[in-house]
Amino acid sequence: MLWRSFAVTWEIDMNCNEWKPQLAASLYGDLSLEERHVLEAHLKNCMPCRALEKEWRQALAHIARPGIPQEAAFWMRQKASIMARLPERASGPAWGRWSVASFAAVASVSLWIWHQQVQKTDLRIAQHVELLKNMDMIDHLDMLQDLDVLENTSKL
Amino acid sequence: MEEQEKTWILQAQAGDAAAFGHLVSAYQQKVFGFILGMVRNSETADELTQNTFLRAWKGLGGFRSESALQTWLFQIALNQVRSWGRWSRVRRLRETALGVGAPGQDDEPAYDRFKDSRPDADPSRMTESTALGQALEEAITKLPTREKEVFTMRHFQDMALKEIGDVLGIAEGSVKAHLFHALEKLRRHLGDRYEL
Repeated sequence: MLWRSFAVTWEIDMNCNEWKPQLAASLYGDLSLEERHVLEAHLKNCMPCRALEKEWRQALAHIARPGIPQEAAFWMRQKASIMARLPERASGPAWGRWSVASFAAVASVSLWIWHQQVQKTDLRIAQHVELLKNMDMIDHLDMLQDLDVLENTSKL
Repeated sequence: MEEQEKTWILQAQAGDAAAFGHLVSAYQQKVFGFILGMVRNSETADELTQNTFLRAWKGLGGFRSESALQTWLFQIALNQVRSWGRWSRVRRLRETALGVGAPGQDDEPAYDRFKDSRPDADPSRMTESTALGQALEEAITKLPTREKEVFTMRHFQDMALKEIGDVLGIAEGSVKAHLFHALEKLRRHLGDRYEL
């Protein structure tokens, strides 16, 4: 009965395809007054679209809504279960926690960079000391004298 | 957003569980109905509703009162449903491969739970209505994910097209298109497979 109408094959005007989304929305009253008037003007002259609207309405009328429990006990139990499972959450707005985390991250990075610089300086000093240890003092006496002058000059 | 609700949100963001409890009371039925329309099983909907509020509690610090709390909760619920759907498919594939249990046995739509709640329901037409309803149930479960989501929100939740678009992050025109495609698939599914 209801679906035997589907045995008839409609030749759908290409323009009808443009109307179908509006037709679907109209089933739920989602069109503005103007949109509804424009659609109705099309439906007056389009038997396939009128038949489609009728079939859609008949189909939707048979779709039962899921049964929401009516017992208060169900909702009380569900809420109690939710509240019992809530984890501890730090108070305060998220931006506060992010600020602390950001500061800690910046401080850590800065400390690491400083430590890297200190290590490089130590390495340079160690390299210079090693060089000085291995230098032939006599052959490089003139250079040592220049270094001595520079050091004395810097102390002035 | 009502002032009372704003107050509860601020208190809950500060860690006040009792204030969050008020929000649960205000929205649990809507969230449950939203999920139930998509998963079609009360036990699953109950579990996913609880998971939704637990996720909301954890992420409430990131909620901005410019948007509606219901929209935000529905977005979380939708993610829960999608995750559950992916997990269900993996489990069905595994069980099928191992030869244990019938495919989808635990996830069959519990149609008998969904009583015809229409005020004008005629008991004498229950057999016809039940058979057709079961066919429609099957058709709904076979809809592509996005079309099923749009159809469920519009048909079972009476959500406005704009709100559906806000939850899904798509334009209103896209919502209309998905709704049309869903209706057309339902019509064709029944036209191909079911006659009274």
